[in-house]
Amino acid sequence: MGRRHRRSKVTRVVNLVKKIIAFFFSHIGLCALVVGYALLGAVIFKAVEGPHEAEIQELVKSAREKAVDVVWNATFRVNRLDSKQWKKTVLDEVKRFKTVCMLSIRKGYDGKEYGKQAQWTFTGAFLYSLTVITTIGYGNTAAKTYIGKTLTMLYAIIGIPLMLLFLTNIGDVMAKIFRFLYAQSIRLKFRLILWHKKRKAAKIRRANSLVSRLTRGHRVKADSSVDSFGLGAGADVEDLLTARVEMEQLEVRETAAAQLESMTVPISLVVFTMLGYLGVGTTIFKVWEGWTFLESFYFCFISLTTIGFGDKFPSTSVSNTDEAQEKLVITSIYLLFGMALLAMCFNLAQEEVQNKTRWIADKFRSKEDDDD
Amino acid sequence: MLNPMYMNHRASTPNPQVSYQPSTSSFQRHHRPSSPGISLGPPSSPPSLYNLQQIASATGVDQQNNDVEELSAERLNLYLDKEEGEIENLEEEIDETTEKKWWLRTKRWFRLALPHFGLVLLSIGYTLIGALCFHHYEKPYEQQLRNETSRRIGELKNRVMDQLWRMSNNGTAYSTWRQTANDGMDELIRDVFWDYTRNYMTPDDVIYGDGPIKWSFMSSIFFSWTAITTIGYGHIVPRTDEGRVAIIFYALLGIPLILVTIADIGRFLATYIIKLHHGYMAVMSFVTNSCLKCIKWACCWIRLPRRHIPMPTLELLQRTQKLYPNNNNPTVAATAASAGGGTGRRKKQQRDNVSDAGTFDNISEINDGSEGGENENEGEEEEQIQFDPSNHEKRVSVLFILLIMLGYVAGGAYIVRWWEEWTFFEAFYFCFVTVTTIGFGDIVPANVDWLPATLAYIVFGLIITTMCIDLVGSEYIRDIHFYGRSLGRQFMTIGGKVVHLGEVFGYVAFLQKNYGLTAEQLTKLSQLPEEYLLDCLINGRQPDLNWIGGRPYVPPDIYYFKWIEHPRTLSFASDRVLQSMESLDLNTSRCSTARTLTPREYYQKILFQYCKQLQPEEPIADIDN
Repeated sequence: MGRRHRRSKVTRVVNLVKKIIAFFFSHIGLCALVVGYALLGAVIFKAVEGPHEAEIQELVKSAREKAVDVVWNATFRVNRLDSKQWKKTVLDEVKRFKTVCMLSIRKGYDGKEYGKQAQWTFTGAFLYSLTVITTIGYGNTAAKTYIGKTLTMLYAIIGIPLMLLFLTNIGDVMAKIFRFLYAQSIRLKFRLILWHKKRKAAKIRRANSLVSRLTRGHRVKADSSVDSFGLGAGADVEDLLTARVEMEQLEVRETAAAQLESMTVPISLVVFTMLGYLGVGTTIFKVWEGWTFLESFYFCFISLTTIGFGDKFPSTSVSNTDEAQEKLVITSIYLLFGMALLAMCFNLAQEEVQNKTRWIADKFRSKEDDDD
Repeated sequence: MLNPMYMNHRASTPNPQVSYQPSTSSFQRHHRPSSPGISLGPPSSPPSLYNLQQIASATGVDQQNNDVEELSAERLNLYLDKEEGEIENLEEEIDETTEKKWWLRTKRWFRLALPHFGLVLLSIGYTLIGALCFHHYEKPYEQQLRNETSRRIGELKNRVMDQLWRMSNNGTAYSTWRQTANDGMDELIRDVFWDYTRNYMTPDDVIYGDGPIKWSFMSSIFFSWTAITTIGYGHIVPRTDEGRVAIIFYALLGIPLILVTIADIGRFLATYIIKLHHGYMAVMSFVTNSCLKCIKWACCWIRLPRRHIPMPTLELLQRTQKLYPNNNNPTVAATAASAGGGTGRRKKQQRDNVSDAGTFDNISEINDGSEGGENENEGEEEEQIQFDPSNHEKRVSVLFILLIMLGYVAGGAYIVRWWEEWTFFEAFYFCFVTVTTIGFGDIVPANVDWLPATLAYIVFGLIITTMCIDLVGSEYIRDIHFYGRSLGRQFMTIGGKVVHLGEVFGYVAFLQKNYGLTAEQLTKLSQLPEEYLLDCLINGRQPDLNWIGGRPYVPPDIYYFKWIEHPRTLSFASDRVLQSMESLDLNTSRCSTARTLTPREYYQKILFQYCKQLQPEEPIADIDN
């Protein structure tokens, strides 16, 4: 009895865990999981990399102060009248300063003053987390410390499969929605065609009634011809016209049913959707950043295909204000939704390409059979 | 009742007569052992099934005879399908004899290998074309930019120093001089930063005015490859408008091409990984079986002599009945202490096996909960051991995949650091970021001489990563779909135990699959209603694949018929026999008028009749006039 009770508890716990996992990997749970994971990454990377950034900025500042002091002291140690000697000393010091500057840039210095501008704000870290798990990887903001790099690798191992899973599921859902809307548009189109056909049928029926009214004297002959096939001239023409219109309606319904059964969205529509989304992004970044049209389109394309060169990056020339942070958030949302839309387009285009390939393969196979 | 029907079938179709004759002989041979199977557990049939049997046989006198005929019909269907399988095997042998010619084999091999090599060569050619294009566009711009930058920095330096010299000669105060110097330094910092981050200058470019050429042909190849694989380091990027337009179209065509190529090679490698993992699991299962044998030997358990059951169906019935025993069997134990210990150990072993399976927890708990004898435990253990290899063939463990990937990354890190001045951690970081196509670009290979080796490493790394993600991802998605579907499932009570329906049906499918049912039969099995399957499970009876359950059978070629004969569709013949018999009816006099019409013509005739019914509108119009 005690053992059975314990097994029952174990069963209950196992089923509860399975239900929780099922919820988290359903569509809503998966979106929440991805966003939560990105927020977690933002918190971690801000905590790890923020102090390092401040340290580097302080280093460059102190190096600059030291260089200025050395040059000032050199002014008094060297004879004032000898310009060549003084220039040589100053050049050596400037060269040493540039070396320190280069090393600091390699360590992560971004040419900004301490406290005024910082890369590793919360939204900056959020965008960094998103670029890691989507494998965009701009590289403008990159982990510099040992701990930061280690955490980036662990974060990517868990995050990249999670992101692939998210894109797969959301791509499937969006493909279904897109297909449903396309089917609705097809139904609407054929409904209009049927409406025109029915109006035509009504006109023909009205014409038939007029003709029968005009041939009132031949009514007896028309009645006798009902039982036979095609003997009476008027009745035959009327029947043929009505049958033709009915057949046209039937053909329209069959065509609509065939297209709805195949349910393949054409590639041109998919490409048009993708170009539309790129156009929207191009407009947004052009207004914000002052880039040219080509530069904005270039940035959107490089980002959504996850190449991510990083030569163009939003809010580079903007200070650490609320507006800049808001832009980073909107950029993150644009990238996340854009990745899902791209997955949807790939899904639909893949189906279409598979159908075309199968059709071509069947054609080649039949040709080979004919040759054999 | 069934025998005359089959006799008529043989008379009507002379061609399959030869193939069906041994099946009837096997049917007659196996007819005798079926009666002990029935006597073991007499099933109580549901009322609807009883009515169907009564209608089908048309002789509701004896229930036992109905059961006998039903079981014999099921076995006949099984053996008919097996005979068809043998016919297909004979056809395959005939095909194999014709293909012994060497040129046919060579032709087939070329046909199989040509797409793969074509994809690889196309990818390589595409990369080289892109490299030529970018090299042509970007190299002149780079030289121009370099000259301009070195000149500008030189002018800036001279201007700042002249200004400082004049101020020091004039005897300016320290604070003013200091501010001027700081401003000059800030301007230098800003310019150096701009050159480093925007124009991608190296320190040698900035300080000495010379350095390695970035857009050499090898670097262009590297850039092209990292672009179309979406790594995108960004250490060299197109700066001109022509270069940017070129990269957009280049990536638009190149990324799908590379994805297809890498997926193709990854799938090719995945088969080897699965075989390797299967071999590993075979060794582990061998070790496990050895441990089990040692445990059995230590317990000094003597196995009772079990009767050899000739028919698999009967064995299936017995095992199915063991799953859900209506009454408890008497327990047999040699010694209380040794039996208790052995039972505990076996249950632990069963629990371990079940945890490997993952989706059969509830069934195993039901088995553990039942107070059956040791024979049942041994039977369950054998079933679990049989189940494990088939399960492990399909899935590859996540840790194994992670070990492969991290091993490749670590190996690459160990190799790459020889020609790059990196620490092991930096090399590992670079390899990881590259292989996962993140591609930050903060650490990039600087040694141009060893760039082909780096490129080769990246190529194989991407293939291995794609393969690993595909294997693990497909497994996760399958589990997630199972969990997602399990939410909608119900929990039912069978034999006093709470059972998850999906797992029960999965287990039933496993049992059926283990005994050689075809995929078509499994499909039919899945289409059967759940209540019927549960009844078969509870009563220890094999489900009838052609069970109709009160619905009239509607043939696909409905246009050719004016009527549907109800008793014929309730027979337990296979679909093929049923269709052939129905097709013969076209020659009878009842359907003579329908035989000459196609469905469209038949529909047009109905349409004309419908149009003529519209004529009574005319007299009404005349009356109005």
